[in-house]
Amino acid sequence: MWSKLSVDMKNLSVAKEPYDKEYEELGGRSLIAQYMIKNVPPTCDPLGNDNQLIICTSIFAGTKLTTAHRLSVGGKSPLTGGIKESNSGGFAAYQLAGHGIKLITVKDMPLSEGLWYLHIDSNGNASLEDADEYKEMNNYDFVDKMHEKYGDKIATISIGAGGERLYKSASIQISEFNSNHPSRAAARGGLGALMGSKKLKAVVIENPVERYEVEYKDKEKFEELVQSFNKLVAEGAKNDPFHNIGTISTIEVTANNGVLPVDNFSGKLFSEYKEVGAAKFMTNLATRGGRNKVSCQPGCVVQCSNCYNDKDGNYLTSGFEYETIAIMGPNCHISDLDVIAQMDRICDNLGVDTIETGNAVAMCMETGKINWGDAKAAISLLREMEEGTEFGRLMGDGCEAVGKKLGCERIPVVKHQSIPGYDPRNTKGTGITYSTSPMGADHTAGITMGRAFDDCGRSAQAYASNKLQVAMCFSDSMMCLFAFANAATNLPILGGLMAALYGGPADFNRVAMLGVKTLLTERAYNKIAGMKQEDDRLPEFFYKERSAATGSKFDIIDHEMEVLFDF
Amino acid sequence: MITVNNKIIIHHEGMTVEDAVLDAGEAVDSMTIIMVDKKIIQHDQIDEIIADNTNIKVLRILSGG
Repeated sequence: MWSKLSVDMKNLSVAKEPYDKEYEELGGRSLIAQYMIKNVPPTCDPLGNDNQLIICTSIFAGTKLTTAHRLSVGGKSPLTGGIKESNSGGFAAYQLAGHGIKLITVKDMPLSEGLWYLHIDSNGNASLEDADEYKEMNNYDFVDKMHEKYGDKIATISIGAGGERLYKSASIQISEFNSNHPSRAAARGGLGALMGSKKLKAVVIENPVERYEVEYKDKEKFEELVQSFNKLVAEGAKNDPFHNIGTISTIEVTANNGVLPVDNFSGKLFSEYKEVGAAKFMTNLATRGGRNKVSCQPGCVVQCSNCYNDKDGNYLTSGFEYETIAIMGPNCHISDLDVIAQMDRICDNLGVDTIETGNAVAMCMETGKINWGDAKAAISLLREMEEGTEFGRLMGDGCEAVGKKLGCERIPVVKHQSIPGYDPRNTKGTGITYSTSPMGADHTAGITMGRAFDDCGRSAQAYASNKLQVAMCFSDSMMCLFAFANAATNLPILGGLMAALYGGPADFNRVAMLGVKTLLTERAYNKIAGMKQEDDRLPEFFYKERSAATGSKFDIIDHEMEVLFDF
Repeated sequence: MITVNNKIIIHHEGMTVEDAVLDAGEAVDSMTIIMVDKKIIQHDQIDEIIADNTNIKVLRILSGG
């Protein structure tokens, strides 16, 4: 039987209990939605006693389904003020599943000053340990210390100084499989600040002496279906640019169709895009001893991750992704891939979201605090965030905080969360997703970019966003969306997998309904939290300003978005 | 012999990247990235002539990165 850890920071205690029957068929995003609506008051202060930090594995954790070991982190978002689920690859979910732990909840706050980490030893015993000596230590150093203490096979979930200082852009960093670098991030929504408010520095998971064995309703059937599913994903991955290159390959598409954000979503094209594109990236990997086709978690066949070295061949960063490159590069008019990699490393180390930080830098450029494309000044701003200067702390609170302070009129946020690397005027279904997702502007909530949707005309955009938002809800409950995308030709298999694991009908409808229920629950949560229809809108400038690349405005009318959730 | 996404195509004199891709039943559109012998080429280079034993990959972006 799966278990859960209930961490009480007020009493500094940890209870290991059987996992709740009512959540048996849930995991990841769906579990967080149902847990939060019942246990976390929607009107609570995100950094107060009543909010909870929720860490969980997916529906198929502990099995051999490829990418089943995503880690989901949830809570009421300090950034958006709404429900938040942020998921990440890395080694932690695999190790938690190895101990038979499905869910960790962290509630209340300590009565005294201090800092702790949750330690799970090789026998699955959990305890809170004093972390005072690691106060304000950033992620790379902290993870090194934990490896010195507990050996190489641990997995870590940690915050840097960004989370401890309650930056609203603070991320939670997860160590990567094999490399152990804390370069995977549950980055969005400031959940690192929530973890920091609980005075929880990290969760450190030792390699289990004996791995937990999942109980199946029909193990033989499950294994047969897993084999088919994994084969499907592996076959798809062969021609997937994320496998062959990495997510940076997206630049090659977005740069030419006006989707790549340039100079704070100005709508211009970026003539130097090849300097931050896939060919340059591959050359740098090849000539500096870097690597692509890296699995961030055991058993992943997509292998979209990478290891990026500097000019001298020394490790600089890993998990170097399109979103970071688009927002910290062209959107800040920076065309030096090495500078962007350096910015990525600073963010991972400090524990802040690269999208939020990149957009905050763009606010400084838009208002003339620093010049467009001034890489040195951009790095200086990030160093201020590290040092915790007054302006650095403002930067830590993200794009909107900086934009408002500097008097910027074009602040690219939805629900206070900044917009990722797709200009919504040129992928309008994506703009609808940004607007209406309970998560705020989110690149994993349902991107519709691509001929199949973009060529269907305006009337299809809300439909496309609707379908993809539901799909992302169940994908985020089960696996990595890149595996999901490669298996999209045979999604009914997911119903079969559910049935073989838990019993019940081998029907895709149960999977689809899981997605619908999750999305509606999240929206209900936000409504009770005080969000209104006007929160489901893009900033005005996307409606008023035409994209210089295409002449397009965001012209989806309110009514089209309002019918989106009429399931 | 030309390989396009693991399919074998017979090479002929003057064959371009585009010819090989079409022969293999693949399509090039705004969501595809083309690699020729592990090097990424731009879409305006698909009329370049290829030598025998060239390996081509037509990679399709499936989801946002």
